[in-house]
Amino acid sequence: MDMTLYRFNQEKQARLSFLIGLASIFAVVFRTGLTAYFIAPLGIIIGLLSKGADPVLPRQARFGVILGVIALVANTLVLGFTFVQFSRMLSDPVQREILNETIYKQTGLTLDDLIQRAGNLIR
Amino acid sequence: MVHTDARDLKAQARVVMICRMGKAVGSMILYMILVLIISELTSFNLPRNKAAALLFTILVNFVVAVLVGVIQIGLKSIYLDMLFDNTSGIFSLFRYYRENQNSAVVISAFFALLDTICSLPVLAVLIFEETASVITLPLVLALIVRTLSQFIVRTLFFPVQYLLMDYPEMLPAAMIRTGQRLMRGRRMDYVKLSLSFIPMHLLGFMSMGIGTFWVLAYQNCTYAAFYKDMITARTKHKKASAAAEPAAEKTREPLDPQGIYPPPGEAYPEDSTEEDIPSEEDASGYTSQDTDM
Repeated sequence: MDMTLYRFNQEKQARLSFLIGLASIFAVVFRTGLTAYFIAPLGIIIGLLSKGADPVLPRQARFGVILGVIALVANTLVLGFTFVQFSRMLSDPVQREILNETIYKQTGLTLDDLIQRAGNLIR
Repeated sequence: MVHTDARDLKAQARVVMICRMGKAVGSMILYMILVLIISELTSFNLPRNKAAALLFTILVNFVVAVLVGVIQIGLKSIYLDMLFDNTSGIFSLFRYYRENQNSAVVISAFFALLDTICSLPVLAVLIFEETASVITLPLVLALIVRTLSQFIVRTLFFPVQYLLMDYPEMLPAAMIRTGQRLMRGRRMDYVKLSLSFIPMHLLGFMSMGIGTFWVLAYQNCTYAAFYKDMITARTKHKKASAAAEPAAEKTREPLDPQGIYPPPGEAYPEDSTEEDIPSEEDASGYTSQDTDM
């Protein structure tokens, strides 16, 4: 086996894992929703596979895996916080009315209409 | 017999994947696309009679499983090629449609029959309860039964498809018996190895299936390494046993230089010892080649 080729490919893979981990952090920062859930695990998998026969992960792969895990945790916290805030808004009648008006001005339908349509689709 | 640790097997697989990541993942993607195309091409409107619909579904599933099974053997040959540093392309997926088709079809039909039997509860629930779009408790239970039974079948007959690549002259029935005997003492190792991939599969599932291609490629590479270790360990054990005992003269029939088959007039022994299982020296395929990893 060509060790030079092996090391070259290993470094390439580790760098890819680092870049994907970085991209997943950006996805969390710019609040793209579920995007971080799609790309962070890919970075973690590629990072773990770049270990090869070495006892530890290459440096860049280590950062890629850590960034991927941070992105997953952070995205879960951000989405959870958003969901909690939205639930509080819906349960407050004044805020719900403001939300209904805002969405009506943008789409022609109130929030209650949208929720009803979504419920019909699921059924 | 001293076997290689699961960690070392996975390390071997990772080394192979680093050097040939494109081929490893590309083969898996092409295989999944082919499975999808074959499944879609063979989807028909079911008859109204439920019993007829069930029978029709079973037949179609069986045919699809045989077609896909031959491609699956080609896929495993690609990973075994990578492990032994042999050259082969992604289109080796169709290798067993060109060479040794009879044995490949028989082996695939064997596995297809077992898979169809394992899938009977799921098919029955889907057709008789018409619950294709709704997840119900009987469907979930049927899926669990199918998954567990298919896993047991894979554990019992794991090396059979690899034996087709390594011993192409062996009869399919002998491959199945030999594969079963090879797994004696290694079943728990295989189960532990398979279960160790669950966390990576969860990560692959989270990435909407994109990461699953990498995980499946890694898993198949590891299984190829497991097979290689199984055959190598058996050869070393046989050599060690032979060295410890005085060598006895063995006479073999000239038509059977490898000593795979019993002499004429004798039935194939049911309770054979380890000497009946072929070793690395008998292989005409992969395991007889030197590797330098």
